[in-house]
Amino acid sequence: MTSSEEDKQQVDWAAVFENLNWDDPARREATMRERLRQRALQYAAPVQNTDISSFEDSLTVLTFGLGNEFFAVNVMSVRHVRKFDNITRVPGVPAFYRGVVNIRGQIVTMLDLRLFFGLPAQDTKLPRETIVVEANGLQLGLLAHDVQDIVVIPRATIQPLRELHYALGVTADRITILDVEQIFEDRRLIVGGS
Amino acid sequence: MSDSIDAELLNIFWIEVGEYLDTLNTTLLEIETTPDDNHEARLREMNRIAHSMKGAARTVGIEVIEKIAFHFETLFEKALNGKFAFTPDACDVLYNGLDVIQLVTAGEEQDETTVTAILNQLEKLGQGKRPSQEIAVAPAVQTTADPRATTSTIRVPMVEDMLRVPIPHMDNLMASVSELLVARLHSEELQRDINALRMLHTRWQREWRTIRAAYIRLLRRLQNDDSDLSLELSTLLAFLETNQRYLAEANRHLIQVAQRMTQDHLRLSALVDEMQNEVSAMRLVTFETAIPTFQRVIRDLARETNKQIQLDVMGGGVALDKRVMDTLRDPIMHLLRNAVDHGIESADERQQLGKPAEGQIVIFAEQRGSEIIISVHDDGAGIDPSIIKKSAIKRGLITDQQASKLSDDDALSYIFYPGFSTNEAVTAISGRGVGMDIVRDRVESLRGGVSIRSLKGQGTTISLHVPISLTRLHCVMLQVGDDIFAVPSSSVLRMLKTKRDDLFVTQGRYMVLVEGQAIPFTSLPGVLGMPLQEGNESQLPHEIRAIVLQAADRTVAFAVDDMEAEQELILKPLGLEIAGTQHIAGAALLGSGRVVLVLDVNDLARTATGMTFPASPPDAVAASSTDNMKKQRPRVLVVDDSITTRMLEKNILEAAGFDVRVAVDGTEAWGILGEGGFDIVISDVEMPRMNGLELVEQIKAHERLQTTPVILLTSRDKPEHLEAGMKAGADAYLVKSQFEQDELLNLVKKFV
Repeated sequence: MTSSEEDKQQVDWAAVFENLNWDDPARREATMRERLRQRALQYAAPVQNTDISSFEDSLTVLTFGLGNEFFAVNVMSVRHVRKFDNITRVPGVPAFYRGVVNIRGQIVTMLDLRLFFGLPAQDTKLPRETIVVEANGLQLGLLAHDVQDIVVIPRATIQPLRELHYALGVTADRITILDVEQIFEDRRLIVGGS
Repeated sequence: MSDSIDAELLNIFWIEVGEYLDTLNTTLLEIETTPDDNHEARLREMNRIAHSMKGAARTVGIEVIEKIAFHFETLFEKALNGKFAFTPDACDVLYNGLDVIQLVTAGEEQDETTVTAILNQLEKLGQGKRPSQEIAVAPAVQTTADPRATTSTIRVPMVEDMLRVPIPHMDNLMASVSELLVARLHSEELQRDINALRMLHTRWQREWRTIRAAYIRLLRRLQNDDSDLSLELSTLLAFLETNQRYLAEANRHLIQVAQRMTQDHLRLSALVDEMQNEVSAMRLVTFETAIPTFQRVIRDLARETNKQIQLDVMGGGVALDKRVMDTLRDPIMHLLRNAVDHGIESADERQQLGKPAEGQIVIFAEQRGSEIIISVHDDGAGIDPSIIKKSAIKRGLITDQQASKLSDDDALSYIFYPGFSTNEAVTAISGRGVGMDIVRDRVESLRGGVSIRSLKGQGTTISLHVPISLTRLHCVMLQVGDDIFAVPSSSVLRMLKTKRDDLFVTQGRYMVLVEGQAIPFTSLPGVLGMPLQEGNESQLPHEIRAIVLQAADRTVAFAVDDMEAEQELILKPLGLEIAGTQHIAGAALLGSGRVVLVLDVNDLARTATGMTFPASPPDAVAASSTDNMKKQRPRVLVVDDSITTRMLEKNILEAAGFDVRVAVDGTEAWGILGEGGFDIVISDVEMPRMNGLELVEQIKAHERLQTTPVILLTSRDKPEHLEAGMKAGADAYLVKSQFEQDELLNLVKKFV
């Protein structure tokens, strides 16, 4: 559409009629085609960072928000990402296990990372999404308020966290990259285990 | 006994030993490569395996394996007590022993001198001597290898038109069937949704009919009137007419879909039922297939102990899942060995007592409702509850005071306590104290229970109760606050409405009268350790709804908020991280996809009546539940690498009303402390991984934990040790040699 100053002052009747006719099926299809074409072009475009070594030196993670915290996990350990409605509390387990949920016929235990790390977890809205991760023979659902993006992070930009050995480090945007394998080593996770 | 049965027995034995060998080899290697770790769990496991292997080898009469297993058991026991270290030299000898077993299972010819030498080395190791370096020394006098052991070949029994299918495949098939069952539930729900849609249409139809007359009148009037407005209005009315036709058409389709859906559902239902029955039947074996094994065991044991014993098996036709049968075989063997060893008296003794010289053991299998009950009965000496009590006191499991209050039935239950044995002399057949706890563990792993009845002088009956199906379970749903739990219908004795004033207290415990019988009464949330609903923290309502549950060996009434009708649930396993949670037997899916937890009735009843087994999960509610109805008890963390000290302190503190958690070393303790809520820590000094001093330092340096008092309890009594403890920040230092119950309690109470 037009963009110059003069045109804006005058009413572009053609455009108005065109817009009024927005629900026309032919037009709708054309818009959709255009949108798909744009998307295809986007995907087909060469990746900005074509250097092969960048793949080795970077980490592909899934980021998610939980309360005021932002976490990320290596996509290689992710099995499912799901929304859920019903969580069933389990009495007699540590508080960081908020309950169990049915994920495609399988019963998965939900871990609240904040409680596991000893952080406060007061929610006005209960987390309703989960990222099911697997490591060391354990499969647990990490609770999330909102699951965000898959992003590629250059390892060099990750700031190591010495005091927290459950994390690989923090990104520039203050996202904590979790070390799922290390977390799943923790004996506290096994209820009644020796 | 026919040859074919012997061959079949041997076949089973070789498979069993193969599995044992794998576990022993890997576990031993793990221990050898990480000598600094705490291997208690591994050692216990190896000890149990050696024990089972010994029994199995005796059953089939393969003496070499039996002897090696016996030595292994002795050594692992020593290792558990810290009297044996897995040095590389010692491990060599153990591996040699494993290799001999391996060769025997492979059916290879044995070099008798080598075998003898290895047996000698194992024995020396057991006596605490260093093994001599060279193995091929001159042969010792005794010959060991049973000819059967060295020359027997594995004979495959006659097989006709059969297919061997690995168990995991069957399990996968079973899992798929249970998915189908869930799908069927979904389809039922879908039908209900469609019916709701049809109801909606019926309602619309009714409303349309009531205004249809007015609509037609309006239409006629408009035809006569040719004002400008009438055109638009008639267009609109015509549209209404069309709409009506559309809706009628949609409803016709809906009815067709609903019909097809019902047909499909019925077909699916029938197929799923058939498939489930077929798959279940594929896994079924009759109880009688195990009878030869049992008879063989009794015959051999009778000969060995010079007792006369008659074994009768009743209910051999009872069919049960292969996995259930396999899981129960070992426990039943244990029970038989115990019956022969401790139960049945010698012929002379029996005659003096006026009993027939021949002792009788009866195995009775029966299906009762959705449960299978297998009882092992002997007409022997019975178990004296007072001896059990004495032994429990000696082990520090209960105090004198508790013992005096303990009923005879409750006292008998202590024989299922890990490592509990009243027989001081270790016999070759049983009586090492491993055994009864395995029996309980195995049966409970099947969501079953164990009960014991014994009359002194008249005999003992031990019953194993297991559910008939591993995937489906009829359950009653219980409402507790916002949560819903399921309990197996088979364990529900009755539902009850009672008044608060009808409860009475006996020995500090609430009781309720049910049909003239006093039954312990408690609240379900209290036992489960769940926070009570606000408003009635300690007060029970005047009108109480309760459910009376029958565990394997006791009956308890639990207050609940509400109960719902029985329904059939499809069982699903919990993740292994919470599979060990106390009071929870498993989970199930409702048609809506919601998860319901199935409660473990045996566990509930034990907690409710104040009898808990170790390996309690973190927030397990111990001791009497009436305490929990009132207030939060102070929480203590006990850290000690010695199980004896740990259990001793735990029992003293629990008896004094504390909520006790235990940790085996500083590292574990640190992890547990992260959960928060501990009022005091009592720690040993010398421990693997993180010692007590390091633990104190870490606690005192931590922002949130530094105010938690720490008592160091140790055998090191030099002034400089005391100083080191205080420097690290300990609040008190208690020397074990002066350790007395009252002193510990007084000290703890000073801080809490």
